[in-house]
Amino acid sequence: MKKIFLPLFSAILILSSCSKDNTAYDGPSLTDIYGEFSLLNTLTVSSATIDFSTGQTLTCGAEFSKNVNWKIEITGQSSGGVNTIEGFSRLIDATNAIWDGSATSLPMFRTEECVVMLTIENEADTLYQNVTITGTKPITGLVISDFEGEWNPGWGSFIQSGADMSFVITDANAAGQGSKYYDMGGLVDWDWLLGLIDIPATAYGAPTFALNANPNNVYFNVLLSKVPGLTNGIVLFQFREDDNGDGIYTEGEEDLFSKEIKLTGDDGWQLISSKYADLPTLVNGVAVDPIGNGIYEPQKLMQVSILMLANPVSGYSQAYMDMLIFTENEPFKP
Amino acid sequence: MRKSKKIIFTLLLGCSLTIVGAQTEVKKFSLNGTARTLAFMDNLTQEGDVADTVTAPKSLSSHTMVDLGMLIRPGDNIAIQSTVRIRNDFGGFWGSGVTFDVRELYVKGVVKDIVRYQVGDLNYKLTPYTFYNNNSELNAFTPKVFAHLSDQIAYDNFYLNDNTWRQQGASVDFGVVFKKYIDEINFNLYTGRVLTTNGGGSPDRLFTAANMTMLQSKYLSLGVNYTNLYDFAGTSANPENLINPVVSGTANAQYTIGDILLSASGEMGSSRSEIVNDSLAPLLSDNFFDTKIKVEYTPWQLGIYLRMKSVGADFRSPGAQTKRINFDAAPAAFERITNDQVIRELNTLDLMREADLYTLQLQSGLMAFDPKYDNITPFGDASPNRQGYEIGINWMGWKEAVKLNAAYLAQTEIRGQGTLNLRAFTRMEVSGEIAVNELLKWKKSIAIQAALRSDKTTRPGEAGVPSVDLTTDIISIGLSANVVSDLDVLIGIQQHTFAGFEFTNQVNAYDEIINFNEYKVDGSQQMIGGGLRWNFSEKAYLMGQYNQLSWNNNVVDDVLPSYTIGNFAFIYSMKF
Repeated sequence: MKKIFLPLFSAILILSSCSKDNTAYDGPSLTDIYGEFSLLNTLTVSSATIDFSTGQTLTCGAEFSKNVNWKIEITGQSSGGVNTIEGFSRLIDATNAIWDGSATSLPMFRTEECVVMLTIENEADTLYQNVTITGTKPITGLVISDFEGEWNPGWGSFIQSGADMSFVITDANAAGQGSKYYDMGGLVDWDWLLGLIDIPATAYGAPTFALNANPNNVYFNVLLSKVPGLTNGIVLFQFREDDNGDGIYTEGEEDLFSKEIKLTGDDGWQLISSKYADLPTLVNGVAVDPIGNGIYEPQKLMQVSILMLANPVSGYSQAYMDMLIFTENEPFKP
Repeated sequence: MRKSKKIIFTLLLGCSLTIVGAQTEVKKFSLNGTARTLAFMDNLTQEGDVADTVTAPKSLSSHTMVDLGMLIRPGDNIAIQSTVRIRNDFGGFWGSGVTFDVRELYVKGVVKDIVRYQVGDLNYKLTPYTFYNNNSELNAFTPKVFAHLSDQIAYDNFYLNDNTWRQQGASVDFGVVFKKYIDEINFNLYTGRVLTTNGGGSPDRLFTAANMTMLQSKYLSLGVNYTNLYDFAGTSANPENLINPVVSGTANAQYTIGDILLSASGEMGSSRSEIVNDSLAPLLSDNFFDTKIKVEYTPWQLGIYLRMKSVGADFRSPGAQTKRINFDAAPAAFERITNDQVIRELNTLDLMREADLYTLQLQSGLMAFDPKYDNITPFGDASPNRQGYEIGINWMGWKEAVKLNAAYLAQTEIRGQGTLNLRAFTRMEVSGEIAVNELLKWKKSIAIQAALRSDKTTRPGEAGVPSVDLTTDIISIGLSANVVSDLDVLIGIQQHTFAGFEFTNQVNAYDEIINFNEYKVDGSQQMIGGGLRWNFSEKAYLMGQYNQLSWNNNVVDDVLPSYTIGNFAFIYSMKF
């Protein structure tokens, strides 16, 4: 027994004398949460001028003594567009602070002066830099209209004979993109419809819009702006498909999908995006069974209509519209 | 081999079925079970400048319950046990408030007098690092007067004194006896279902345990253990499947030199935890060892031991780390207090009487725990990220009328949390029992139990990070005395104080620490009670007791005030 007991006893002692290395720790650093903050390198930008149209990007940089929650806000001085980048790190560099010219808060950026502002959570200091945009970010997708040009003669319209009617392309206020937008407004106290625009594919020289046939890959996008003080506006988008391919849309027989937007939220420009396959068939705002074959066929879309609606007893109503665009695989990134 | 070793199959010792060789008449059918009536009347008193006008200050709850079991023996080597629970909460009539549940159902037997099996509900365990139902916090510090409450919880949740887990599955045990070199080898195998698939994203989850123990002689035994908590692939549409195997080896040796008994034991092993097909899930793999050397002077029944252990930070063993208490649960009695109806945190009275605060099934990952109850061994011996030593002494004297135990533990973390600095833990524990009547040679029994535990957790601060300094002390004293005939008097007190600062972990779905919460406590809870118990027999008693729980919270601006709960409890318990 001694032959067994003594080796076992020794093995236990050897095992017991072992200890493990301590070169790492679990979880976030407590020093980051409680340690003293100092700015080691101030805010920098990779270039004072930037041309996003050529694919250039802007990189911001800074270094702190510990990991912090930081926020970079880039604000267009003419457009009012804002791009926000946030992170939790000790270093701000190309891995976490690259700007491609897009806006996280509309309007979209123009060629303009921008202010880059860095704020750090729980720290008083705010750091600034200036950047000039010489070329805006390229727009990818099938643009129906950005309303920067004149009225397309191929479009149709109907405007009620109410009071203070304004269905025009204008630059009176800040546009969602560029300098112009479409203004829809007026007072009609006998009907929900204030006015409408019909945009047929034929206005672009084809019987249908050149869209991907997979409705899950196609997104409809539009920039809408709610006018401050008005909450009664409803914008209804209608998508008519030529199910039978005869070149005309037959009411009550072919698919008519819709997207209804009630302008009751925040004021200002908002991006509305919807997957084509998610568009319902609406009758008086209520989803119903499809009218036609019930198959989402973007490649058969022959007309987009925009209807400005408001409850006739609710008074004057108005909304701004900009950048009607179809994108593939993902919503539009302004 | 056949010539050198003649292998004889035998039944395992302790086979609960005394079927083999039993010459006495065995009933084909018998009834067994438990009956009880529990009634509580509580009175809540809150301190504070503003009176609570929202919370009802009194609460009544009571029920009668019968577990009616049938043991059927259709053959010599087979037994079927089924138990039906009928419970009626007072105030329910004509079926209202009455519940019927199947509490227990199993079949067990012996095949060819060789292999023992059990199918259905069964209790199982292996080692403290592989499959073990650790006692709940403060369990060892419960005076007998309060144990009448906590015993009901243990019964309801199938927590037996042998630290087994109640499982549902099938087990097979058998042994092989050798003629030379090795006395015997025993094999145990169990597999059960822990979770059932929901038909969607959650697959069936199984737990398998296996053990082989070789008894070389009375001096030496060696064992191998294996457990695995795993999702059964293909039982859901979700391709992500948990697997968490644990393997360990054990060794026990003892040797006598004159009046001195030397013994040494140890276990070492490793674990691996991962979620297959989940690219975000971390692979946690770590190991452990636990060794103990004990020297015992048998004439004095005096023993001294030294224990060294190390359990890796990523060691994960669901069978051994699942906690009894679910600290995420809220109490049923006075769940919300104050005018703001703040959820009341658990206290010892809740933990002694509310069965719903406890866990019935093995859990993956580490469950939440409250540092004020146990910050050193929250997951029992298998608590991860601990290394250190423990020394202790046990003594039993005066014809076993006095039992004393003392231990000192010192451990540190292996890997820091949020910092490279490691927490240090110390624990001092003393407990004793005195059978006064044995000392004074009285006929009527008088027993005194006392226990003390003092825990301390420290970690130095750095660069603005506050230091960790948490102290918890528990002291309990109980007395039980037989005064006249079958009437016993029981009194007890348990004082739990806690003060200091600690961090608790915020973890994500993968058990990774993502943040820390500040944990600041300064208070105490005192449970004091006394009662009378009339013993109808060894299996039936009637008891009335009054308990008072005083919760003192000294943390400034804390939303929970100090309060007192007075509790009258009536217990009638019978086993048959």
